[in-house]
Amino acid sequence: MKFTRRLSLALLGGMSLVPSATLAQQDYPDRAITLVVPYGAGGTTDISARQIASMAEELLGQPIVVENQPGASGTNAMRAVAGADPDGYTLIATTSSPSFVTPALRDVGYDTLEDLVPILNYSGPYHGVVVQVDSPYESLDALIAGGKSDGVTYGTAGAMGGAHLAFAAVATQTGARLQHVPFDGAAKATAAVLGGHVDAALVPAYRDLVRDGQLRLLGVLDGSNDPDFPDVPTLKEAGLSAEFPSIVGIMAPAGTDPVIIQKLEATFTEVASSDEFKSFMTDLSQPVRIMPGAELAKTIEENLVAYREIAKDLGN
Amino acid sequence: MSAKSSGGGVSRPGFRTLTASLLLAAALWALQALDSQIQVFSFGESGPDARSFPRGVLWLLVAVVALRLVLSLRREDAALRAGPLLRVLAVVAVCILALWSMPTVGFLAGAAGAGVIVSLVLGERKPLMLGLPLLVSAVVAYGGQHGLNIPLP
Amino acid sequence: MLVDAFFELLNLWVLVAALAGIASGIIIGAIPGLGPTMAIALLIPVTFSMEPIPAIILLLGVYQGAIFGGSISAVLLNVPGTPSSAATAIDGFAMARRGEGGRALRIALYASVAGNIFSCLVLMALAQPLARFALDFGPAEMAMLMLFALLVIVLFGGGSKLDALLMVLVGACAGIVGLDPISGTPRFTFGSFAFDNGFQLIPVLIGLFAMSEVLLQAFDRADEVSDAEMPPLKRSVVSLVELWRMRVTLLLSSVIGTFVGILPGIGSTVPAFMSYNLARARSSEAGQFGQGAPEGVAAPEAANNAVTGGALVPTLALGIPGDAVTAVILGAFMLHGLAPGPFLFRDHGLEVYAIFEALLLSSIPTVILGLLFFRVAIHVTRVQPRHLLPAITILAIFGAFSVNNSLFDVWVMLGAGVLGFLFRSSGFPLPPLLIGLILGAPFEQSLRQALLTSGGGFDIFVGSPITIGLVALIAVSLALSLVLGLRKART
Repeated sequence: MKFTRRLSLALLGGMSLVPSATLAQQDYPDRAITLVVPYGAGGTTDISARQIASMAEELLGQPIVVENQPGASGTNAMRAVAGADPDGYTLIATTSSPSFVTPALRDVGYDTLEDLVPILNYSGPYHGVVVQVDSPYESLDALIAGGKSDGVTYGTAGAMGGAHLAFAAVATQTGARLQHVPFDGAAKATAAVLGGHVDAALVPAYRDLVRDGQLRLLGVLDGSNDPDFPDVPTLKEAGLSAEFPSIVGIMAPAGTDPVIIQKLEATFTEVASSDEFKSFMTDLSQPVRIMPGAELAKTIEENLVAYREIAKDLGN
Repeated sequence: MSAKSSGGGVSRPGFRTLTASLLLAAALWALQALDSQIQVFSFGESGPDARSFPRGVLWLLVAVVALRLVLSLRREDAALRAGPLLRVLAVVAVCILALWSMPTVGFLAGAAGAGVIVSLVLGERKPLMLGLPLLVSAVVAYGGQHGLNIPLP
Repeated sequence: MLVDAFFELLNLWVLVAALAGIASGIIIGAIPGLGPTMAIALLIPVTFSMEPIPAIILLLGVYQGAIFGGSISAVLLNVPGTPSSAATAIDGFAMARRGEGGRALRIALYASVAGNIFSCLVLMALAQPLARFALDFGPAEMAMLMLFALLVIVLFGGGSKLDALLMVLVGACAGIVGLDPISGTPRFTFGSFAFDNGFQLIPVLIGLFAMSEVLLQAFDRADEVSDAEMPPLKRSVVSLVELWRMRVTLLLSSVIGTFVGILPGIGSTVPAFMSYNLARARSSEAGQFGQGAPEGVAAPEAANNAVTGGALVPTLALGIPGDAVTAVILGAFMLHGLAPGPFLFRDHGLEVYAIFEALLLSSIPTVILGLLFFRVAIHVTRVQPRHLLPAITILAIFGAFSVNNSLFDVWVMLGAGVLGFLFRSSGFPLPPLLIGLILGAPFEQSLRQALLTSGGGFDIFVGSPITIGLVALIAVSLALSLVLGLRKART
């Protein structure tokens, strides 16, 4: 809708100003940039994107307008941005699920690796394996052993999410009977494990409940340890070959001028590594995890492949 | 402001019969299309799958609608009057047109157009008052775009 | 502690924040499609530079204001501004047609305030234990609770039970479209990405109530409504005695609202209708309900406003938000350094109690602002329909679009409008459809979650004291409805 109009404008502009196309990258940005958020206003992804946008617009000298396009777990917005003009004026602040989880499961109308260029990763909440504090399972090994003998139920934020797929891989590897129970959002999965309705939950935002002694953290699904709980192992450290790396990063449509990408990467990296941004994210209970675009692309590619494998196993 | 239930003839089909028949047709179609519209991946889980609940609810709906149809055959029904129905269809058609053209002509023109036609259908004839929908849609479009930060088409 | 907290409120900014929050909440809530979630999300960036207490008071003021604001358009135009005020429209609009719109609004206002105060007191006194209690509601308990709610809607809604059941089923069927809640596979999406999200509640609501109104008017066009036919605006004073007579209704509705609010994921529409039906079942003048009974306005309003305090219980005490609005509020608390969760009351007790006291005290500006708004808003009932309805059409298109910023939702709105027109012309009741749509998918999800945790055994539905209690309630209401039906048939 909006894009067709923008496209026709761009075509008109393109026709009259062909020689200045190379100039455009030097002037970039000379108008407002749109940063699409694939979730509703007010969530942590939205709030952090708004903050990084408002800090970056001071450096870029042009406003960055944050636009929410929620729906279909983020894939609608990804598809829209993947099809937008690759002029550097439409970006997306996105997360793991629409980047490499959902696309691995079904046709979403875009290919993250081919249709989008990662600019940088700046956050990503750690997902933990948590059990009730009086649960008999003291470690990941005990949980798996329990799964082998009696079967274990675990809750996640939703069907076919990254956490679900990671644990499905664990179940295939170990032969443990891990029964998935999908909830409508991580908050409800957390409530279910607190109330003892499921044996474990794979959720983010567990810190205070663990510190308060209501939950026990057995492991984290990410590739690295949660700095708040450095002694808690990752799945890999516990001998399980599965992970669910959580990303929150900025991407642009494929075909965007590399000069523009570099400029954006430098700007956003500078903003994201500032103390001001760090303290803002700490208030939100979100980590700052900076990863250059190339590395983010690699992470997405590895996981896309891995998740396609898991999905294939599950599908049949 | 609600429907006048001025009775139609007992034997003449009215709104109730029409609506119930439409529902029955839709539910039967949905039941027939159920297997092609819902794919089931088995995870070796016990219990109901993605098809069980829809199938149950649809069968129940078919049963209830059928009962409704049988029971209401003897009841008085709101009459289907052709003239007013044409007006309703006109409003719906205009809204479809407005929505369909909105991506190209934009929210302002689409909404204002729909508003003006609705005005006309409802019997407004003074040209000055026909400007009212224009004004309202301009206010809404401006407020939405700038005040509420909504990317209207 | 409570006194210290009170001194924190003696600040001009707190007053300004409360007034600004409530006023903008009422306005945004009154516009169909724009609800509290959107209003709060929009205002969060505004509060970045504010002190924590005024910032949170501003946002919670918006929350309360928006829930109440929805009832203004429900009463005056029969177009609920938010889903939770759909129950208020039934009797509120009937009163407005008699020229008692002002009175209906006042009753709604006072009932809202009563619900707010009740749930806020509960929040202050019992947040921690109640949050623990809410955790006992697992999938099996939720499934039984929702079944009970559906039964109450079908059995005690007044009118034909068969029609109500039919509409609940239509709503539940509409709720199937989208991604399956358990396996994540598309259902009835016709291979289109647009359908993946399913039919969203707000566009359906706007279509069913607002757009269908436009179509009905086009069908039943009255060429000119003369001034003489317009209902005169009657005196709209509501005396304290009147409110006192409703005390039991207000209390019960507040309890229902608070309780359902504490449980995650049901929202405020269902308790509003449950309270309405309960008030109707209890009333000695049940026939008045639907014809403009004051208690029919008071009951849902007390309930849907009481939800606000209840919903904050698990949000603040555990850091677990039950719905979209409280999730946004959770983010706002975090941004201002008041991370909700087990440590909130220990580490930030002063701020939290100051905020609670402000919630209580905000009843005063709510009443004042509400009465001021009524003076202006009441004249809407005297605008000619042919001037009003085009504006409603435009607002409906805008409101449906704004939910997800997608045109697909506007198409859904239009489709729901045509269906709403057919249903209303046929005399089928719309509220059960709304409830079916709201509860259908979560009911299926809870049912299947419970069966997954139990390994397929149905004994989980009678496996805890709570489920046994709920099953008993279901049995009692079925029996009661049967007895009442038989007695009615005999006389």
